[in-house]
Order: sequence, then C-alpha cells, then structure tokens
Amino acid sequence: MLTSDPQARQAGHDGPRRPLLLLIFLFSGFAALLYQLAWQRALFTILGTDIASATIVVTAFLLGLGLGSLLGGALARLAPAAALALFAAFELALGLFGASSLPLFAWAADRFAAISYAETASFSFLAVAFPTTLMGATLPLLVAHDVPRSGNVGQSVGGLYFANTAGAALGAFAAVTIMFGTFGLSGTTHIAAALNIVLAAGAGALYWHSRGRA
Amino acid sequence: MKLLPAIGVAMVSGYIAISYELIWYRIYSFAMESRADSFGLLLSAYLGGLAIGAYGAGWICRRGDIMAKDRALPILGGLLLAANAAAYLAVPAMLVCAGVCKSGRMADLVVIALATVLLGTVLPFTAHAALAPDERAGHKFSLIYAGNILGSVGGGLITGFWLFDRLQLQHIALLLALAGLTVSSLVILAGPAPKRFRNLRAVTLTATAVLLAVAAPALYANVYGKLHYGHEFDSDGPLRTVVETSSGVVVLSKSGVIYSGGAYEGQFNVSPLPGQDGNRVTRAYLTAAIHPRPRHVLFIGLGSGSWVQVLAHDPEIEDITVIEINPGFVRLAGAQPVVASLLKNRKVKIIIDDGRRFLKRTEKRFDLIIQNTIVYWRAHATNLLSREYIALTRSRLRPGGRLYINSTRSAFAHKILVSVFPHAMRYENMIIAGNEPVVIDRARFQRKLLQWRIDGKAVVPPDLRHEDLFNLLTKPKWHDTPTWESNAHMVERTKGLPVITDNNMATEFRHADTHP
Repeated sequence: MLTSDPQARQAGHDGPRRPLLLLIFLFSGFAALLYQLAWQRALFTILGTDIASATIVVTAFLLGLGLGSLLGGALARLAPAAALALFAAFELALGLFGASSLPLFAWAADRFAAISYAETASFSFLAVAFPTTLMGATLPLLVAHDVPRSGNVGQSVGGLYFANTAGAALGAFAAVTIMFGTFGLSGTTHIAAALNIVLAAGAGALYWHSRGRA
Repeated sequence: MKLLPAIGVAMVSGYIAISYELIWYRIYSFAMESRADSFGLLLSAYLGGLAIGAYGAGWICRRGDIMAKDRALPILGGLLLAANAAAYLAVPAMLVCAGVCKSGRMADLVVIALATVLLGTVLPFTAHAALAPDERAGHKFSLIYAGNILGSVGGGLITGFWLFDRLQLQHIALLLALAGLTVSSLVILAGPAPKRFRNLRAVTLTATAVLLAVAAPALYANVYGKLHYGHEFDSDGPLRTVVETSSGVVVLSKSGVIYSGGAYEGQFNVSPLPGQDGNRVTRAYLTAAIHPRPRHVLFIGLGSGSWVQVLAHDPEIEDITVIEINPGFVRLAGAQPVVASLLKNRKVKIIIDDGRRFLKRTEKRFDLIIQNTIVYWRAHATNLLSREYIALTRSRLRPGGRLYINSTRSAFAHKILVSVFPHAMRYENMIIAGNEPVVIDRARFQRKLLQWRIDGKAVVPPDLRHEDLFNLLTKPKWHDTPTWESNAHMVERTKGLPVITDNNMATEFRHADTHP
C-alpha cells in the first residue's frame, strides 16, 4: 500500500479518487450536523432545556466523538489497509441508526419516568454514544487511509478536516434555514440517514476500486 | 515535535474554540432576540471559519515544510496566540457592527467566521509537526484529535457551565484571553531560540498581557446595552440592570422593560389602572373571571413576577408553584419593590426547572396553569406550544381547571389550543382553555378587583371611577381584531394551518405564522 516513491505517491494522491473521497467526507459532515442539531432538539425536548441538561447533552456528544476518535485510531492501527472499508461500514451503521434514532429516543424516554441529572447524563450518553462514536472514528480512519498516499500529514489532515468541517457548516445552515421547516426532525434525520447509506456505497466502491488497482 | 505536546496544543485549541463559541452564541442570540435559527447560523459561521483555516493549513503544508522540527513550537504558539487574539476581538467587532451596520446580524456571522479561521489551522499544523507520514499516522492523529475534543469538553463544562454562573462575560473573555496568552507563550518559549530572543519574546508577551488587561474594560464595556440599543446606545446610555447566569442573560432597560436573551419579557407593574398598566397586567386579574375558585395555581415562567404577585394576593388561592428555567429572573425580581415580597410569600414556591420536565414529573393537579412566557418564534418555543406539551398541560388540570396561556398572537398557537382542548376562548392575545365550557364571569371579576389588595394596598382606589377599568373587558377591538373570540370562530379561522408538534417545530422554523 505504501510506496517509497514520493512522486508516485503524489501522482496517486492527485488522482480522481481523492476529490471523490473529499466529497464523500464533506457530505458525511453535512449529515453529521443534521443529526447533531436534530438529536439535540429531540433530547432537549425529552430531558429539558435548562443549562444543566443542555450541558450534559452536549458533553455526551463530545465524549462520544472523543471515544470514536480513539476507536478509529485503534482500528486504523490494527487494519490500516481496511480504513476506507471501515469508514464505509461506519457510514452504513450511522445511516441505519439515524433512520430509527428518533423513535428509539422516544421509546427510551417513555421508560424514564423521573429524570434526575444522573439519569439525564446516562440517557444522553446511551442515546448518542453509539452514533457519535462512529462519527468520531471517521476522521482518524480517513487520515490513516490518506496520509500514506499523500506522504504529507498536514495536507491530508487539512484537506480532510476542511471537507468534513465545510460539510458540517453547510449542514448546520441547511438544518435551520430549510430542513427543519420543510421536513421536521424526523424528515431531516431520514434524509441524513439516506445520505449516509449513499456515502457508504460510494466509500465502499472507492475501497474496492483501490483494492483492484493494488 | 513530540506527540504529547501536540496533544496538549490540540487540547488548548479545543478549549479556546468552544469557550469562545459559547461567548459568541450568547452575544449573537441576544442580538437575534433568541430567534430559533440563531444557534444553527452561528454554528455554520463558526464551522465555516474552521474549514477555511484547515484548508489554508493543508495548502501551506503542501507547498513546503514550514513545520520543520525547530520551528514547529514557535509557529504553533504564535498561531494559538493570534487565534486567541482574533477570537477575543470578535465581540468588540460585533459591537461595532451593532452600532454602525444596518444588517449587523449578517456582519456578526462574517466576524465569527473570520475569528475562527486561525483556530482551524491549529489541528492540521499540529498533526503535521508531530506525525510522520506513515501508516501509523491515523492512530497517532486520533490521539491528537481526541485531545482536541477533550479540550472542547472542558470548554463546555468549565466555561459554559461553571464560569458563566460566576463571572460576567467581559471577565470570562479576559480570563480566556490571558489563559490563551499564557499557554501560547509557554509553547512559544518552549521552542529553541537564542537566549536574547527568548528574553525579547517573554517581554513582548508580558507587555501584550498588560495591554490586554488595560484595554479589556473599554472593549467589553456595556456589551448588552450596545447590542440592545444599537446606534442609539450613545443617547440612551447603559441598561439599568444586567443579570448574567449560565442559563442566560436578563436585562432591565432604562424604560423599565425586561428582556431575556434579547427578547421582550415584561415589566414590573401590578396596577391594572388605565395609564399605568404598561404590561397589561389586567389580564392577570382576569383569572377572577375565568375560574370560580382557583386554589392551586401553576405558573410556567416567572417573567417579571408581576402576574405571580397579583395572584399571590388573591385570598382564595392556597398555593402557587412557579417553574422558572432561568434563576436570573428571581434575582431581578428580588431587587424590585413592586414584586420583591412574592419571594417571601409563603403561598409561593419558586422552582428552578424546565417547565415541561416539571409537568411530566409532577403528580399534582392545578386549577389554573398560567403561561405568560415565550414569544412563539423564539428558540425552543415548541417545547411550550406543541401538541404534546399542550396535551400534557391538559392532563395536569383539576376538574374545572383552566390553561391560561399567552399565544403571543400566533395563529398556529390558536390552532393547537383549539385542537387539543374541547373548549377555548380568546381574550386579546390570551387563550383560556379547559375541559369544560369556558364561562367569563364579569361580575365576579369586578367584585374581586375592587377588593384586591397587594402588600396591604388596594389596587383600585375607592375614589376612582371604575367604568374605564371594567370597560376593558367589553371593548370590541384589540389590534384591529375582536377582543374576544369564541372556540368555534377560532376553529374556523385556523382551518388549514399546521398543528405545532415536537417534530415540525412549526412556530420556530416555518416562517408563515399569521396574526388573527
């Protein structure tokens, strides 16, 4: 996978697959922010919008992302050649979870009769730990995939972080200007889920294509 | 650069980024009067700035190895320093926009995006300086990224939850700036350099810290007053009172109007007399007409406390539970003679909680649930207007009980109330809803009003002509609409309008709501 020839690496890196990978990661960030804003709304409705509940929900999101980062790094170390395939699998899992997320939250909420802050923390973490762990893993996985090809850490991290964060910015904008008003929370999460599944297929295709070339 | 310092730099960068995001959100949402889309728009600008920074860093890294071993720490330290300075100056820039720009709110987003560009460069540059471009890069990068996220968690907890409850915004910003300056100085000084250069750097950084501390009061002075009054700030001067807590900002203007998160909340007044009733507190006295003998009352939201003060002096009412999400309102009310006594009134119990969550948990039932709180387009208004919430209030009423709610003239809100309750009636912007037919007893209203005393003083002086006061209930028009509207008429008028649900958030994100 890793070639020692910098020119060959650069040539491979600049091939048509990398822009496609960046595009996939951009839409992954787009979907992630649709989820984040929709799930936060849903959890605030269930748990309350007071500052303690809001802090707990946001902290649960971030902790999930942090754990995901560590998971992504560990998987990238164990199976660096499969990083792109793992990314595709994670996108698929996100899509499947996303499609059923709001009914799942509502079902779980019905079973929380009295909501103390400890319960709020547990509920929030359980609700979002799985999907945010998947989200957090995606950047380290793609860094593991891309750095050996580019031979330049700053370029890879900068490019991938740019794509994902730009997608996230567009997702946040779209959520509050179009998506929530037109599709509501459930429609928005379903669109994000569909997007994840398409992205999983795209990333899977890129993976098989790169294996074929190797 | 070794991995551990790289994780440290990423962590500090994450902490600074989230802390400033929280500060900017407070400022931006106040300027936007807590509009529902303010968080998403701010997040979009913030992430957009990070994305531009990341792109720039990647572009620079591709063109040369600027992060060579001996330069990495000074460059990263310098970046942190500059990013911190840009973030610190964003609020003063937003205040300038509020004073001079016609479309200041769009300019705010540009300011925020520009202020985060440098923060966006830190993660790629740090990774570039610390990691070799091999197959282990993904794993090692994950540790740096996790450090960045851990720093963000710290920003949310320490700045958002802890510091916001203890310090004013200007002091938090100064603290952040000084902390950022200290950390970036340490990173810069940790890099290799001749001794005289190190001394020069140390002197320069110390001078910057002193300058910052001296300039801070001027840069951050009267933040909320400048946002509230805009270009009229110079003539109107500062606000009378500002109460900041982690739950939000409550201010009292010079003219005696309360704003929460920048949106109108009410005034301190319990007099129903024409000419004095700027907050139309007569609507609180109207409870005498809508329920024959209310004993247990629930208020969702304290607001100015004027309505609670009125009902706390209804001798027939035995207890009043007030659910207020922001303790800033309680602090403000405690300092106002007209309502301060309600905080010591044994009938009144104030609970700091989310109103909807309280209703879900409580087993108590109420004769009156009064909600004179949230403007329909504000963020999270859905939580107090949706079908699910209104049905919850209905289930917490005693037999003959009434929900008495300010619709803030939202036709969507009218629709939901006539959809959930079998009986409803509108008086001005208030809806009276219940499980039994709504009867307005004007004679009881007049009788009780003449006897009503607050803190020992009659609200209607005996020598006053009462016709004007009592005619308020019979005047035909209010805001060019009928003052009173029946259930059947509201059902007919709101045909075809959407039912507000937790899912569609219709009053917040569908900009098609209409007034009656």
